[in-house]
Amino acid sequence: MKIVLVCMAGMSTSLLVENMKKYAEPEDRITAMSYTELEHTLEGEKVDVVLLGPQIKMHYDELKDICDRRNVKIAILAPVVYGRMDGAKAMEMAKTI
Amino acid sequence: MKEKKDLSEQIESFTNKIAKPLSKFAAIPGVAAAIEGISANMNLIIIGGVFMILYVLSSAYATGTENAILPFLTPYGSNVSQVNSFTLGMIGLLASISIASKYAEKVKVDHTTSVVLSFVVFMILSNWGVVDGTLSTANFGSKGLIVAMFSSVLSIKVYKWFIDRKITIKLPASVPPAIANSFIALIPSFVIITFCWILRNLMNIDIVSVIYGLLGPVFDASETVPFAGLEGLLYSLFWSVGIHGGNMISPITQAVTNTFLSENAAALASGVSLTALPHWYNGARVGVTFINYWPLLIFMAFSKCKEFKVMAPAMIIPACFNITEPLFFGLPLILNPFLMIPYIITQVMTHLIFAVSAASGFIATKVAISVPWALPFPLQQLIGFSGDMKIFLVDILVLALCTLIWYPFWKAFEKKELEKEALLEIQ
Repeated sequence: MKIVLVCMAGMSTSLLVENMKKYAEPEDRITAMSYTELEHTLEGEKVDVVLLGPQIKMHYDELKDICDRRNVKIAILAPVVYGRMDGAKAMEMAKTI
Repeated sequence: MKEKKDLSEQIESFTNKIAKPLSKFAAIPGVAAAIEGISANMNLIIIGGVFMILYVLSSAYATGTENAILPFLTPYGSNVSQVNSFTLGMIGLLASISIASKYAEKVKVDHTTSVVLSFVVFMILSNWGVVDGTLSTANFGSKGLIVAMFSSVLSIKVYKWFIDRKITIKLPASVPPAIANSFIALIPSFVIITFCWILRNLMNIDIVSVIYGLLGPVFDASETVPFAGLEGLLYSLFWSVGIHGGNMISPITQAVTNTFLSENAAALASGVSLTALPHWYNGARVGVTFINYWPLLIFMAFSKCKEFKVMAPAMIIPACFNITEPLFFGLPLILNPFLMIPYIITQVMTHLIFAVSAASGFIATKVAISVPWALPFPLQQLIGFSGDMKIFLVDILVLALCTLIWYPFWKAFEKKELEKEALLEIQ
């Protein structure tokens, strides 16, 4: 599974990415980036799931449009999962969207 | 308790009311392109800043001291203006390229022809042309920034209009795309350029002066202590309900602060000393949003409540680099009826205190460089204020007042959590 986490600068989500890797399969690829880079990234590679940091949930609608056009699943991370950097719950979420 | 809950719900619905139209505004392709285009040039602005730092270290005059901080740099000090001219001194011109680039991507027109067109349009609008072998750079900087935001987006919008209606020269399919695209661009470019030429030369409208004349005073009017307080209020209102405050208010603040920054940098490069630069507002913002929650973090680390003690390191370490989401979403601070109010109060207070310190001249050094946000805030301030350590006195005052404000709210919150913990233990 290719998972992309997005937030403002890609910094806070990169912390969560590190925790998620502990609960991921070896073939899973997880990266973090700024929400402004998402469209460009989706054009270049096949992504399965996009997880949005809750602090930019205002951009959900426009990012959902971008994802729907490419059949990519997208969801907003729950605040406490994100805040506590809960890699296990975040992986679960990615698998069950 | 019920009162506190109602207040936090009110704050949430209020911010949602502002956030929805603001984010719709920021999602308009032209606006998003302007924001992204200006942000894309940040690396150059920072590099310009690094050269500025070298200049400040080399010049006794700039720092207002008897000797330069690093005298061996003095012979090279005057050359720093070269890098400044092409980075901070050109943020308008650079924006006309980067904004056009982002917008062309969004509306899916041929990238190369539209970016170059935007550049040419910007030059026509901001310049008389090469006169006596020289080209005026007066409008390449912050004056041109506002114009660039409009001209880049509008010229490509018009361009796209022509292409959508197929009012273009279509060459046979066998012609290579680069040439074919250039011919497709011919008619729209001709129309746009002619229009700009008429505007500038026949109607004698200096659009840069017009737009800067309209919006410039708005920018200058924002350089006040109350406006700083308003910035702090909006920023913290959004964050208190879990929306990225900087992201929400950046469409407004970025244009203003970039303009002030480049004007300060131009002045510094032309020999004005650090204490005499035109704008103080940027100085009031260095580290202003990275300081007020520290008492909260310290309270957590020493709390009797086991959960807080455990969480504290995971929140303090990222917070040292100004990554605050673990604290905000993890404690959580957001939507927390006990902690939202002190957060907002301390943020507004910090903004006001920093602004008063900068505006009153207590911190006489003005900021002319853009400091990377992920540095611990004391380091940011050290760099931003070119070593003027009076800002640390302000920090101490702010931290002391924030501690007093957080304490009662924190105690109430901790008490509730301790009760919950005690109940769980009984079970």
